[in-house]
Amino acid sequence: MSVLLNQGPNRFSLTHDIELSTLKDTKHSLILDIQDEVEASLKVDLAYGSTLDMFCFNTSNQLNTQEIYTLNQDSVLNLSYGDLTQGETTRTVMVNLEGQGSQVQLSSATLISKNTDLKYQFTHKAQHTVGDMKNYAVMIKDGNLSLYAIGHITENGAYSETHQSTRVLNLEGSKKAAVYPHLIIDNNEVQASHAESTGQMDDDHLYYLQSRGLSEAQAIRLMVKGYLSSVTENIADASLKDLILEQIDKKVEEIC
Amino acid sequence: MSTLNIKNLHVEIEGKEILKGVDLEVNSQEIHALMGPNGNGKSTLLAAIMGHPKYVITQGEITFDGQNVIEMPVNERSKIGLFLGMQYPMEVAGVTNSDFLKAALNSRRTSPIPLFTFIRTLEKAVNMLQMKSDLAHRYVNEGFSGGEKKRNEILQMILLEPKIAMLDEIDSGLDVDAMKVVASAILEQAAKTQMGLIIVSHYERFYQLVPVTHVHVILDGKIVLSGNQDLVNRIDTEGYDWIAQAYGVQIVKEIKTRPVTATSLGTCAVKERGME
Repeated sequence: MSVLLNQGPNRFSLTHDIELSTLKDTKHSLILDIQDEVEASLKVDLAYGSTLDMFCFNTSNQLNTQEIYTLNQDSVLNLSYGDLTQGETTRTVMVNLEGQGSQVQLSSATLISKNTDLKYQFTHKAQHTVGDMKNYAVMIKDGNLSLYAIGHITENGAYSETHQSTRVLNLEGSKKAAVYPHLIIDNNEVQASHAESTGQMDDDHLYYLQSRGLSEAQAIRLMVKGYLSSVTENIADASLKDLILEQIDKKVEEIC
Repeated sequence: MSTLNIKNLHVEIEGKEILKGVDLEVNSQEIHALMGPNGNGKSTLLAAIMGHPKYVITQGEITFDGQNVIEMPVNERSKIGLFLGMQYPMEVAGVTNSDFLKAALNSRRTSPIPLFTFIRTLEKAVNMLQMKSDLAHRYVNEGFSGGEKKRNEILQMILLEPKIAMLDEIDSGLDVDAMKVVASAILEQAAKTQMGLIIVSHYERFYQLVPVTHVHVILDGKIVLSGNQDLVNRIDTEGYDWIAQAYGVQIVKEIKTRPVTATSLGTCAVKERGME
């Protein structure tokens, strides 16, 4: 199915393969709901000068998606993933920055309780392109994560920037977290950075919160919410933001 | 009227004895200055009272209004009315001050604090400490200057209304004007709630702004000398050597160690094909 996005807000569920596109110099927002069991591909084409704020809200039982985003000249993609699923997730995201001056900001917040395979890749194919990726993951009981974060600046990507950071918080009972941050740089006139941390709850942070009266469980809940809530930072729609924060609250109360 | 009572307290950290038998009693409305060179046990005493897990109490008693504090978890110590304003407040990324403070206030209430009451209380404290109005939405201490972090500690003290507050070098990182603001807030809170205070500072100036009722000098893990405000003035001009000589105590020289921070793992600048 092919859909030309309306200007302004759009919302629908991902149930099957879909292709989305924008018109030149337009602004759009899109909430993509992902529920039940989904296996689908998603192709999104951003026309010259268009902007898309997109939030994928995953509460599915099982998910397998292949996503390809094509960014033409001066287009801007703000892409956020909120994964509050307790099912298995496999997601491959390829963002191709084809046009000069195109930009992508990707942020993901993922609660991991089963096998989760994620791959996020930016490929900078034109000059003056910018990519910024921030991944936050919380591993809970039986969680098993493999996450590739890749920034590739090709020979044609002079004066481009690609940045990424990934933070993984391991709670008791999680199995394995494997994070592979890659920067593949084929042009010398670029800026690139990556940061990755994985570890357990910081004892000093816990002590600090407890010293103000919070129990250990309350302190952990507060910090997990903080991790996951970071995904809402790029969401301008206040009511959507509140809804997501409410869902995060509810989910965290369930699991911690 | 509340009383914090410490008897013959011995504390170790990583197998090394830091406190070697401290006795101290602090009551409501009293302001105690705790002085001594770095590395002699001042911060250890405050952290042990608050229950920092790295500090192991090997002997002695800590009671608060007759209750055994040593057996309490950290959060219970806070809820009975103890507060520690830390020398190095933690930065907690992702957790907003608003969520943190609400959770802290609610932990000592039977029903959640009404939103309007919370906002009004927070605004009042923010104004009193001349802090930025966006404090509530910022992450706890993240990106704060040294002075902002210290003001944030005092803000928490004001909101939580402890019965005994311990302030560990709360004046470090504050410029002269900020020190006056903080001192004034502490005095106002003390007058309002009758809380007792234990203040660690190296500066006579701070003790002029917050006049103390008792002064104690810790050397080599023991309180070797107690007195009044005059003792602060003498230490300011003569240092600690005369006390060490008079009481036959060796001053412990502080060994600076680099704090262990979170480990970062990852691969750097991989130059390879085949990842696409």
